[in-house]
Amino acid sequence: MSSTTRTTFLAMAAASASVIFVLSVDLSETQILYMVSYQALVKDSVSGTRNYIIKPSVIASRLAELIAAERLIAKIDKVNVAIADAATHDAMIMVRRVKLGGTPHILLSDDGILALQWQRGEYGVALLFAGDGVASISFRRPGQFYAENGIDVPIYDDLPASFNEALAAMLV
Amino acid sequence: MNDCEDEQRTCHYRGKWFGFGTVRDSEHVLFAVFQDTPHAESSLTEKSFTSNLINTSESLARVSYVTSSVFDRCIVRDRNVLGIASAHVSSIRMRRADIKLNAITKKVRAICIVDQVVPGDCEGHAAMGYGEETAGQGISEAQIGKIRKNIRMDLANEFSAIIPTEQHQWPWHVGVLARVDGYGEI
Repeated sequence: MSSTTRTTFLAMAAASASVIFVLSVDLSETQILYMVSYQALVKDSVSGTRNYIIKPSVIASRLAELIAAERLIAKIDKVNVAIADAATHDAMIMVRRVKLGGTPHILLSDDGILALQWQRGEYGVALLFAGDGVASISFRRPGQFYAENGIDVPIYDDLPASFNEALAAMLV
Repeated sequence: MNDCEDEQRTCHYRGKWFGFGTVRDSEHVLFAVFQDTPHAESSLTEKSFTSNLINTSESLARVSYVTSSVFDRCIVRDRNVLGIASAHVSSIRMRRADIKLNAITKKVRAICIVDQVVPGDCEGHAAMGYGEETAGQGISEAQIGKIRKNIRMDLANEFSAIIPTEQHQWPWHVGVLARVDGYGEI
């Protein structure tokens, strides 16, 4: 990170008491993106569009940072902003807990639904979040499609063995 | 109940004697990819499709009936087109979605394809949208959102890789005239 960027960011961060906890760590570009997103979420919560504040401990994994960055740049229909924020929140809680491998596509669509999708050829597995505290798992295999199967798992539960096996098979 | 009743009758704004008739299972359709259409390298992603799917107005071109010049004039217009992706109609129509209702899981049509032509569209225009029952009674908004996202992920996989328009084999104008309403199909 350039010194100019760092200076700008530090000034920005210092202006907000809500993000002061990160000033002692070495920040990457992605983290800066995340921080901006974090500030946006906090701002949303203050303005009443969302009724929570993400705790600093949620900021843990790189995937969580990428999800936050995706939320920052995604175009969401106005009426679905609350869903997108809640879905982002749920996804970040889960990815921090379960430590997923690989590099999934992070798909946050204008309806606010967020998906983490790992796909290789005919095989795929996806985690879908709609901000309802539940992650829906979908599989794609020859003869089986994402929309034709699915397992719902509360975001604080462990992911089922079938998900871990499917993901492991794709990451080999 | 038929999930896609509109597939059985023409949706041409001038009535059943106009256009090329309902979209047949044996046809192929094209999805135009513009500069601002989200995609991943040479493939469509679920984000390539828009909320037009909700009211069955996601535009497609019917391969048999849209010539290169018609595509440029009526579909591309003055936009920057990156390429096209194609899919077989029957493959898309075969897609089903699972709807969980209390103790049972119901399979419903995921996507419908109709010969929708409105003023300004070319005659070979078609449109696709979610099956009505993907948002049936008793399904929560969150569930509908997830079901439809899964459908879009499947839909992206149904389409071919994106190719430049000049690599597509466009029908000849004379050939298109000979295929009106399925009669004299070449």
